[in-house]
Amino acid sequence: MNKLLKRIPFPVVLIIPIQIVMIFLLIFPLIVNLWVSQTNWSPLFGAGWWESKYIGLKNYYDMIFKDPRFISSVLRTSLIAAVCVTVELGLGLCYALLLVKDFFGKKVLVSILLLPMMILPLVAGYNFFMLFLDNGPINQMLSILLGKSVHIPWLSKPKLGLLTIMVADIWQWTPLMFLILMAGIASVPENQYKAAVSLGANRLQIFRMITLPLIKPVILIGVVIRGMELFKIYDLVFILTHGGPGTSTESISYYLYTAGFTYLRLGYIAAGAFITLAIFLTASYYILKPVIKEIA
Amino acid sequence: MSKRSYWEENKLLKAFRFFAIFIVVVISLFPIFWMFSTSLKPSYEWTPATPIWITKNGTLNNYQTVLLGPGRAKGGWHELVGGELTGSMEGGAGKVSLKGESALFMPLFTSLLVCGSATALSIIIGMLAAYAISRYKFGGNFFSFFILSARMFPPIAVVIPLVIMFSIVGLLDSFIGLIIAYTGFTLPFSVWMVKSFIDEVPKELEEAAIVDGMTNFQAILKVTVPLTRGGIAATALFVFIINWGEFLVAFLLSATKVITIPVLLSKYFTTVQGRLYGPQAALGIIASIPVIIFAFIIQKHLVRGLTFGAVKR
Repeated sequence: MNKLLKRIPFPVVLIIPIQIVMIFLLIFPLIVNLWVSQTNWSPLFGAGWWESKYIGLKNYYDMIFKDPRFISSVLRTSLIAAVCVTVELGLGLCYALLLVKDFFGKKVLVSILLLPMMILPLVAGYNFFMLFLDNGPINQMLSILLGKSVHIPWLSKPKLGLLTIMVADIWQWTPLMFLILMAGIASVPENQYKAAVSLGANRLQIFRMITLPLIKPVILIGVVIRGMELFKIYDLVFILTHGGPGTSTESISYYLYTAGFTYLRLGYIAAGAFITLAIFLTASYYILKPVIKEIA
Repeated sequence: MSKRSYWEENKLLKAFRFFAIFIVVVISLFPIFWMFSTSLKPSYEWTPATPIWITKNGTLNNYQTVLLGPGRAKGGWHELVGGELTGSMEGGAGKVSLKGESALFMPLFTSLLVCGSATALSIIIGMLAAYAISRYKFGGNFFSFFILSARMFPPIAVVIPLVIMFSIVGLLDSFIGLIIAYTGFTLPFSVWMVKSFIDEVPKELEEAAIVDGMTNFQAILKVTVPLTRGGIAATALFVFIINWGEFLVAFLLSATKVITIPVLLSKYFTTVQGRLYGPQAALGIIASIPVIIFAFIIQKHLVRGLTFGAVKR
C-alpha cells in the first residue's frame, strides 16, 4: 500500500479524497439525473426510475416553452438575487465605512452587527413572519408613526410578500457583506491614503479613486458568494409566504421542490434542475472569470 | 501618527456617524429582541391583537417544552390545546409525528454530531485539495472553477438522485448519509478559504522541513497546519454555520430517525394552533448560542477568513 502510494505523484494523492467525494456526490447524481430528466418517471406509476419510459428532450421543451410558472420563478429569483445583492453590497459598504475609524468598543459593536448571520436561516424566517404579521409589531409601529391604524397584509400580497422575503434576506446577510468589505478596506495600504491626503484629496475623492478600485476583488467575491446562495433561496420563501398567494412568490428551488414532491413529476423537475444549472453555470462563469484571475 | 488619523472629521459628522451606527444596531437587534421576548411569552400572548413588546406574565414554559419535550412540560401549550404535535410537511424521506416523548436532546445531539463531523471532514479533505492547488497549481483554473461550481447546483438537482442512490445503499435517514452530503456540499468553501491561507505560508518553510527529513505529509501537518490555524478556524466556523442552519437537504435525506434542529423546528406546529411561536423562538435562541460563542472566540480570524484570498498581505 505504502509503495503504491509512493508511485503516485504527491499532488494527485492530495486530490484523491476530494475526487472520491465529488464523483459520489456530484458526477454520479448528475448522470442519474441526466437519465431521469429524459424519462417521464414518477413514483406514482409504480415503476422504478431505471424502467421508466424514455421520452427524449420533451421535458426540457415543455419546461422552457410550456411552463410559465417555471419561467416566472426564474425571473423572480433573478430579481430577488439582483435586488438583495445590490442592497446588501450598498449597506455592507455603509457599515464598513461607518466603522473604519477605531473607537472604544468597536470590537463588541462588530460582534453585535454580525449576530444576524449567526441565527439559523429558518429561525430568521420565523422571526420575520412574526414581525410582519397583520397584527405584528411592524404594522403597530407604522400605525404609531402615521397616526392612524395600519393593517398592511405583508405576507399575503404578491409584491409585499416578495418585499418581505428580500428584507429578511437583507437583514440576515448584510453582515457577511460587511465583514468581507471591512477586511478589504482594512487592507488598503496606509501610505496610499497619506499620499492622497498630502496631494489635497478630499474624503469622497479618496474613496472613489483609492478605496473603491483597491477593494474591487473583495466586492466581486462578496457578490459571487451571495449571488450563488440567493439563486438557491428556499427557506425564507417556504416560511414567509409558502410561495403564495397562488404561485406569485415562488423561487426556482421552491417551485422545483413543489413540482417534485407534491406532484411527484421527478423526471420533469430533473430537467428543470439541468436548465437552472445551465443558467447558473453560464452566468457564474462570466462573473467568476475576473475573480479567479484575481485570487488564483 | 495613530492609525486612520487622516479621517479627520468635525463634530457634526461625528454625531451623524454615531447616530447612523445606533440605527444600524437597533435594526440588527430588533428581530433578535423580538425572538427573545416571544420565547418568554405564554401562549395567549404570541399573536394578540395588539403586539406585546415585553410580557408581564413571563414564563419559562416554552423552554421547558423545548428541553423536555411537549409531553413532560407542565402547563405548556399541549395542555391548553390537548392536541398532538404533527409534522407540517409531506414528502421527503418520511412524515414525522412528534409525540410527547421527543425532546431536544436527540436532535441537538444529531445536529452536533452531523455538523461537527461533516465540518471536520470537509476541512480535512478541503485542506488537502487546497494544498495541491496552492502549491502545485493542480488542474489550473478549470479545476478551481469545477470545485466552486459544486456550490451552484440547485440543491434539488443533486438531492433527488442522492435519495435514489442512498436508498439503494441503505444510507437514507442515517447519520453517515447526512454527513457525506454535508461534507460534499461545503467542500467548495473549505477548499477556497483554506487555499487563501496556505498561499500566505512561504513555500520555503515546507521545503526546509522536507530537507530536514520530514515526509510531504509531515511537512503539511507540522508546518502548514499550525501556521494556518486561525484561517482554518474561521473556515470551520463558516462551514459549521452553513451546516447548522441547513434545512432542505436534511429534511429530504432524513427526517424520521435522524432529525436535525432545523427539521425539528419546522415541526413545531399543531393543526389546532398553527405555528407554535413560543417554542420556536425558544429553540431559536438555544440553537443560536453555540454558533455565537464559537464566533466570538475566533472573531479576529473571522474578518480576514471570509475574503477567499482577495485580500493580500
